[in-house]
Amino acid sequence: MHIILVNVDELWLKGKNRKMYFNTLKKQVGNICQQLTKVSFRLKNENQRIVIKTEDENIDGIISSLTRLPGIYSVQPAFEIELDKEKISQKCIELVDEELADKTKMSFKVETKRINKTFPYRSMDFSREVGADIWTHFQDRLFVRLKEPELTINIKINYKSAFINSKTFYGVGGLPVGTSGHGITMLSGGFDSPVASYQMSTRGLFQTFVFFHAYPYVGDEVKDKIIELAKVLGTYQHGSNLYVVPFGDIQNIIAQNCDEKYRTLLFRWAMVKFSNLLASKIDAKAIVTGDSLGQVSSQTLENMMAIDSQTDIPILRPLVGTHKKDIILTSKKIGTHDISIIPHDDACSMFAPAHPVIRANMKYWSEVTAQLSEKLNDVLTETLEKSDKIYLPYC
Amino acid sequence: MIYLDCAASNPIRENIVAQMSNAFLNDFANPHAAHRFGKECGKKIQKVRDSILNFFDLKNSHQLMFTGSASEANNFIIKQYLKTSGSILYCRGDHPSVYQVIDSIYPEERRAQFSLNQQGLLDQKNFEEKLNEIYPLDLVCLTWVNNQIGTELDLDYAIQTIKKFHPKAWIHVDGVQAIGKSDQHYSILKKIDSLTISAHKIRGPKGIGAVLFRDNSLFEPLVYGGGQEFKLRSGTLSYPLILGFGMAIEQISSVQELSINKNELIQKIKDISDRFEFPFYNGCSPIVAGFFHGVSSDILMRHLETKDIFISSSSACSSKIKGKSDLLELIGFDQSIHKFFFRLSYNEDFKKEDMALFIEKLNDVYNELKFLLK
Repeated sequence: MHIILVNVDELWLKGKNRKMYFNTLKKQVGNICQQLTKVSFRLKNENQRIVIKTEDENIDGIISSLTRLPGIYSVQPAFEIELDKEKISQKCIELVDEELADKTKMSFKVETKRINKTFPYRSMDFSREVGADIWTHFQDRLFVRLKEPELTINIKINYKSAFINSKTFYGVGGLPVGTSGHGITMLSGGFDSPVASYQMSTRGLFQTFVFFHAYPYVGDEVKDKIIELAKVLGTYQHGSNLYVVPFGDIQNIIAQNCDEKYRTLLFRWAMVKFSNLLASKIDAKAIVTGDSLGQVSSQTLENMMAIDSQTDIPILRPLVGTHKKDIILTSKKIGTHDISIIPHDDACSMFAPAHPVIRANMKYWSEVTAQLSEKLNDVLTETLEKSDKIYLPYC
Repeated sequence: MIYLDCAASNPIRENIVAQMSNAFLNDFANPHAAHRFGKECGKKIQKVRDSILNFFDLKNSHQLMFTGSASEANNFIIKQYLKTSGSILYCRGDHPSVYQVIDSIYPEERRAQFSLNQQGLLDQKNFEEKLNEIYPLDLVCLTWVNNQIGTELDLDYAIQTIKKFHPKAWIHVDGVQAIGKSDQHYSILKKIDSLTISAHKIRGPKGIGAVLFRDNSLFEPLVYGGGQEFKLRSGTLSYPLILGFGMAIEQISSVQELSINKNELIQKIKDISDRFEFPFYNGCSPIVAGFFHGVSSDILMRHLETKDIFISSSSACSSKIKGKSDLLELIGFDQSIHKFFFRLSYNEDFKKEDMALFIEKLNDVYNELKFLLK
């Protein structure tokens, strides 16, 4: 019998809503177990954590998926032992033996938490006793260190049994997917938008991804790259979709009907307009982009203002104050860096004028967006119908 | 559909498919089996082997070995000199199954390259200089018709010149793009030592190629095993593919049978815009290569494909330098324009009406892309 302890993250902040958050998370944990176990499993609430019990040997897959599920602070594979000091010590000795392997010396400590106040030992005393038993077994190869030891043995004394674990895998934390609503994330092949998506995932936003494919100006390589990125981002979600939107015609119409300095900005505008349309169909209430203030011309304050004036739903820019180097670091952490770095045809740079506008003139902006809106209305609806929807599995 | 990528693969003839299907169904025995059924299949293969040799009038001087592709056939010859010590002379403009092999398996001191001139033809002065410098010379690889730019090698000149300096050097000719596309007579082939050909370039099936070569008992096997193909390339032969190959050879159309005038095609394209440049020598091969100065040719290619027209562009965006080509670098074109390179290649089915339609659509695409051109 394998046990996995799932410790939740920010839920304790939520007060009256806690139950709703917890149940959402529990359901998602259940879905993951359902997908990944070949045999049955059981989920239990056990004071502020979820306990998974399964006969399935392969719990590594479950642990890996759970560390990507937003809302989870940490995941600990554990063992359930009778409330008997000898038996508990014995198990601890086994775990230490495994960790010790062929090391000559290792520091350790035992940490006990008990919710069961009828247990005859106090937590600190129990830690000391078990610790002594362990040390007696290994003698000189072990020494006790209370601050940041190499190995911590955790013992949780429950009413009917004890859970013992030595390994902790940290999750992404935050809030469960969907508890903060539904947003549309615009993905490009760069470093930024995937990192923006990840951050919003940890805030509990359920995301539908959108990629604007500038075929025939670009080929399929960039599309394949985006699908790879979206698959990674999908592991931080719980069953989301990617829309691949054919954008070449729209770019063509825009480029033929505007001052070339405004091309790039107007492409962004058209993407936001499309996202608004999609949002109304799939009940999303925000758009997420990887904009960072000042990075490229379309990300100046004036240009952001120009875009924002044309959207019904808010545009969330989680990276607006983030330094590029931190974005790159995060992209490495979440597994999108090596995909983002693959060179691809960038339609935006192909269409880019020599001097793109940095501060949109609002008068011209109102005029040109009004004109283009008329031209593009039907085109946008048709484009939505022609878009490919790809499901992104979460494990 | 207007298919202008025949140099990559030439559409198979229908009658060949029909006969091959028949052969797959009925001539299924292993041609190397000892029973009568197998032997009959074996005889049929021998018949095709002979007919191909006869087509090139090489029956009395050369042998023919079937391979899975011309690349394999090139590899077979090139690998024969690993144990000797002389030089290998080749060109960076050759097909990768020639130059990549040589680059990969021979040390630098044994490799010597000759160059092409600005029109893509053999740089004769350079060629003679190299032949003079090298000693001893084991193998020379010549490309008869270049697959990327369609330029043709004057085989007579090349062979005479090589023999002048190195009468014993093995002369290998990659003839993949030349069969049916050159007006040089096949009798020249008696003077060379080996020739590689491919079926799907002459409207036969994919998956079968051959090397015709002078008997050489020193040749080592490409593939060991059951000992087929004179113990040089083991593996069960595919009679249907070989049959298809034989039929393709028999039905080869000559350059005279091409329906359009190459110069006319080039002029009509240039009339659309002077951004189209065709700097290579225009021989009779149905391969037209040039530059579209403005956007990288993969965009041109994709716009044409939305109109069901297929041309060739080598610009893959995942390469660090878009469209970078060893051949174009060799000829002297700056890397910045490599991405503008495109190629059209047609066959005898490309008629005047098709050309007219192609020009019309190309004109449309040009107008669609005009605003992007810098």
